Amino acid sequence: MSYTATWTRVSGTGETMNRTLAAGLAICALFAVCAVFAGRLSPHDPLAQNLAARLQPPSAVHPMGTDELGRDVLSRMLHAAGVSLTVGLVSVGIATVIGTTLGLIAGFYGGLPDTLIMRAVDIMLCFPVFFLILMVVAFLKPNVFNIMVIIGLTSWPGLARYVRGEVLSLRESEFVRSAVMAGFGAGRLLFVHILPNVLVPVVVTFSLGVGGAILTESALSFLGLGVQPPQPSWGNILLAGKEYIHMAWWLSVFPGLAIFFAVIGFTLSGEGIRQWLNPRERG
Amino acid sequence: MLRFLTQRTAVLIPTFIGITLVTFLVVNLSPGGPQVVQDLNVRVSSETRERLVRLYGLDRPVHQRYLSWLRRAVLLDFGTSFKDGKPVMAKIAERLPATLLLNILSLGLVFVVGCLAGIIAAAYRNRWPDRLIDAGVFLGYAVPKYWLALLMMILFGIKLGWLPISGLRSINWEYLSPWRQVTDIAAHLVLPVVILSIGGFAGLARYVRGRMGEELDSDYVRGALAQGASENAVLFGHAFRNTLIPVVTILGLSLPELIGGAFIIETIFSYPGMGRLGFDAIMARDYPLIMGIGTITALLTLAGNFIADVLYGYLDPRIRYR
Amino acid sequence: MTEPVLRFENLGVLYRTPGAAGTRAVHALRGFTLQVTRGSRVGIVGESGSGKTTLGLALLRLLPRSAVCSGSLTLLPRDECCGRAVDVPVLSGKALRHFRGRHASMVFQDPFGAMDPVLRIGRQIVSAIACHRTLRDGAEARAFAERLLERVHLGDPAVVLRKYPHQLSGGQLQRVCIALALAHNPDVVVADEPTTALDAHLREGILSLLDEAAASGSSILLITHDISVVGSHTDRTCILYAGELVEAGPTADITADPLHPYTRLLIAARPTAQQRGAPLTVIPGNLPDLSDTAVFSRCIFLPRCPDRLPVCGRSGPPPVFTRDDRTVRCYRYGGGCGD
Repeated sequence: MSYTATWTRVSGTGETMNRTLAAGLAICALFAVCAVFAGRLSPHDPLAQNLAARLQPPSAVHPMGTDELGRDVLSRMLHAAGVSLTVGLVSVGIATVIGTTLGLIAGFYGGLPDTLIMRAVDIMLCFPVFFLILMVVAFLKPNVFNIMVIIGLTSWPGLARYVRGEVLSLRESEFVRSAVMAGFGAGRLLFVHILPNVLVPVVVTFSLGVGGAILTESALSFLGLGVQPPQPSWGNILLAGKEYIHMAWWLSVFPGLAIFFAVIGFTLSGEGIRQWLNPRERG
Repeated sequence: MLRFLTQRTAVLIPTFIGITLVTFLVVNLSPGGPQVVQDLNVRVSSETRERLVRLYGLDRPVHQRYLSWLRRAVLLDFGTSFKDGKPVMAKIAERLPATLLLNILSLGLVFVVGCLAGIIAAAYRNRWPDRLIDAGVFLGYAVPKYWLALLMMILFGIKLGWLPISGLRSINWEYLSPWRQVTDIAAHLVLPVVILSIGGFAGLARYVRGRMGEELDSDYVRGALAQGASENAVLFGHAFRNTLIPVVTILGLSLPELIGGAFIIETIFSYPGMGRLGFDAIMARDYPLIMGIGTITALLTLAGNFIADVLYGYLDPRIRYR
Repeated sequence: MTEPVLRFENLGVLYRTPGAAGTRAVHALRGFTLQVTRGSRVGIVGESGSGKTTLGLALLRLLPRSAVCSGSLTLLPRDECCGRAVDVPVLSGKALRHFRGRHASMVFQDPFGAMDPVLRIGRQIVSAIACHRTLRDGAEARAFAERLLERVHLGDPAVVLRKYPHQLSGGQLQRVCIALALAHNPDVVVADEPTTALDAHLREGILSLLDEAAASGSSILLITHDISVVGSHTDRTCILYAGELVEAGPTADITADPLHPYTRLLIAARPTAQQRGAPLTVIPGNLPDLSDTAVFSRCIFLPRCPDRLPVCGRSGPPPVFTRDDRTVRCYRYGGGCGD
């Protein structure tokens, strides 16, 4: 008997791409290019100080002006893209792996594992995530690695609960029931039936999560607990912007726009994937 | 209903214990934990240091420390602050009303604007108001709140001078007439509340629109229309009423976001609330205060979720009556 | 009573649905013509996808915005409150709200889905009454509501009024829905599969309520997929297939002597006591794709018809043939064979 995985969720309308997904991926690609080729694209060294040219407004030489130590803002922004994207992708990756695994276990096996995991989820969700992150980051050295791990370790509860819900409803669905009746073992059920169908909402949540992680990382840097200068981050450039709010509007505007569009890019991608794989609403 | 209530209450206790456990673990087991206390106070003599260690029980094994912490936490006794020796609970109590004010107002704004936007979007499904609101929701989610705060501070506070940009009261507050006192506080609250709410009403509008869309498709809406009811009566009297019930739960679930967001907002606007107290405590490594605030924050969320749960059970007749 | 109350003339409904290659039009109902007399009970029989629910919704103007209607639909009300003839498709605003509930009403298939789960039954009945009557106070409203429930033979009306929908059984709740539909003695009641979601033993009770309503002057459009239901509860029957009216006439004539091949198959497919042990008759094949206009260029039932003639494949769609009080769309009764 030949066998194929049952992709009940993938019911594309035949279009390979829709506008939302295209727009989202385009924006993400743009940022990815900036991040990867930051070295080649930057007109100046992001760490090079030039105290004679402090707080210069945007000009031909410095398209986004200079900061309080005379460093070129555009170059710093390009390098910061790498940091933000890395933190976003890795931290949400960690959260996704943990959350999906625990959600699968809780939903599939039920009973004691389910109770324990859901209790943990409830407890974690009581804490404002940001405060939790703040608490931990304050006690550790604030660097990129720690931030990634912390955001990852504090974002999994929501995903776990969501995945568990999906698994529960899948368990009751007809094709799983018939597979159980046919005598398939737990492993086969999990990997061949349930996992592919859970994967789709997980991918969507992943994209949306990256946007959130970028916001969190920049918020931490803005508070001085994230990426530390001289390493550039959109958040810590904004911090300088707050200091010099009356004199240097460019320090406040550009990093904010960058964060804004990066988040939009990932959120659009997530939305686009969801629209692509689900039938559209009828009027 | 009674069974529902007892179920929900029974869950509270293990959750509370879990909260204390997490707070304790985070502070005491992370590398930068209380052991660092000793490094901070370099000028303090070794005797004083030993006394401090014994006072805070830092020389005892972890599980004993946790149990004594738990015993005190249940009584809301979080010890005294490292920084100035004042009782932690007193410091929190001083700042709590301001934070509660901020959060409650914000919750109210999220509810009103979110529901309105969701209803309009659902009533004009797939037409331009829906698309406009959808776009607005999208942007609201993507904007970094503190950036928006900065921009609005520049615009409304500095350039236009309409609204104050820090604190809760003006310096000369005591000398103002009662009416001016109220408007002064209100003016100080406008920017923080609005910024805090933005993420929240984006999420709620989305949910309300989706849910209302489902309700508007259901048979009882058709039935009501078939009896000759007006579209408004159906929209508000039926579809929205059914949506309201899960909305209550959503609002409850968004409490952690709100309270967490308040940390940043309070810091930017120098708002005298618990959030700023917590932030300062974190920067100063004031552990008792940090643990106190962490626990109280989680408790507030727990209380909020519990109230939301009970309200849900009360509002939905399918739960209230068998 | 033979005065007409409702006239469908060439009614057509198409749905615009978004698809992979732009919008397609699904022609759910085509050229439906029927006249309903006052106090009569008309059965509308067809399988899912036949357009029967679309028909009911079209009458109540409850079709979604993606639906485009053509043809005409006229109601001739008993009460001249809005003139002698009501042109249903042009109604809007207050006139439409007046029409719904007062002149035409609907009973839905699932009573639990048809009532708001978070409001008490009394409240829902009173608001339905208040749509078309001014009530002086709560006591009058309650009295009216109780009378309505008595009319549908629900015991203990006062108790029922205070309950929520989920606290009643399916049969009880469907009686409430019928009470709501009859509240203002409408000219037409559309009953869309009123007994399908209920246990079989409750069927007769519900259907006899509709018979009583017809006797008091409200015409009934009984929509069903089960031809055995129409036997004792309708005066006339229409058979719908894939959006077309293929046969219509007095119910007794149709059940005794079905003309259209589809009708014959429907009747043969009923499981009866005599067939115990023998395999059930099924109608092979599937409904045609109603967005493909090519299928409308010939008889719509041709692919599944066991009695086809050579003329069926060579000519366009069969015209309507009338014999006595019956109509049928089939080449077996004319157009090449005389008559």
